[in-house]
Amino acid sequence: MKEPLRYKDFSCVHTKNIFSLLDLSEEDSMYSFLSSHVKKCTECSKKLEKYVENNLAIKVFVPKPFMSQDLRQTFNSELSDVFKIAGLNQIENKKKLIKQRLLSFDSAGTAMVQGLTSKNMLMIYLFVSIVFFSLKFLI
Amino acid sequence: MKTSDLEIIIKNLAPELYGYAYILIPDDLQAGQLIIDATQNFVLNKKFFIDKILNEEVSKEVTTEIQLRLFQAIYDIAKKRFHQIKLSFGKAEDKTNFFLSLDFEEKSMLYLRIRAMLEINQIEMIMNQDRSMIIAFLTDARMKMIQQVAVAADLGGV
Repeated sequence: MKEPLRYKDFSCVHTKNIFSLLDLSEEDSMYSFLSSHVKKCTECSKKLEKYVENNLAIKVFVPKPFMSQDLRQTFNSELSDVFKIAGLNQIENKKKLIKQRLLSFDSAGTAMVQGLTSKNMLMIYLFVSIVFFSLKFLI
Repeated sequence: MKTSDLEIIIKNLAPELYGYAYILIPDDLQAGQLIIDATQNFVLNKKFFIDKILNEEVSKEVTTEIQLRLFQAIYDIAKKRFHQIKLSFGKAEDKTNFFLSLDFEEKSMLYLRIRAMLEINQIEMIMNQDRSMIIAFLTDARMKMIQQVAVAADLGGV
């Protein structure tokens, strides 16, 4: 890589654009135009060849950072917490559902006992027992 | 797909997410926090998308879609944070590292294209830029790196 590519050195007006061939897909309308131009223009063809070669060389300078095990564990535990908060943890959801059902069952039971021991019900019990004993003595 | 499958997919994507976060904000702790925040943002704010994928089977396409959404969340948060904290890691950023001396957008595009091996339309979605801008940025970033490497080679650095 002794001679770097510089935009100002390009004599053909298309040279700057032909580098996009690396990123354009074959279905792209520009791709067919540029690839046919490269076949005809020796300047562009040489520059593209050099650009591709240099591009391969710079790939090694693009880093691939490594994630430490500690950080990964922290991320995993944070993610589990986020899933719990968002209501996306199935085990937690089941626990919540069971708790809710038990609470509703409990409140229904409490309501029933309260109903059976209410003032009105006590009056009814008294009235029914008076009627029962009166009838029993009369008969 | 079960919610536990989604959790496993995100956990398996962690190294890629961290790699992208680190090149945007070159600091261990900041990058770690960035992926946690991006995931939180994704899980809590993208309910509609999550409901949609939970009705689908686990597939490579769904995993890629999740990865792209997470990359997008990382990019959006990093863009805001980078400008706020760039001074704090100015010294830590090694100017002899050809890649880290590129601009924020250039680094992002080059990493996504070369390391994450994404298509241009996928980068378009992540960075919310149009196709021509992305291609221009990529070409400029490559040219900058080629020139820097060539200069360093002339000085006997590479």
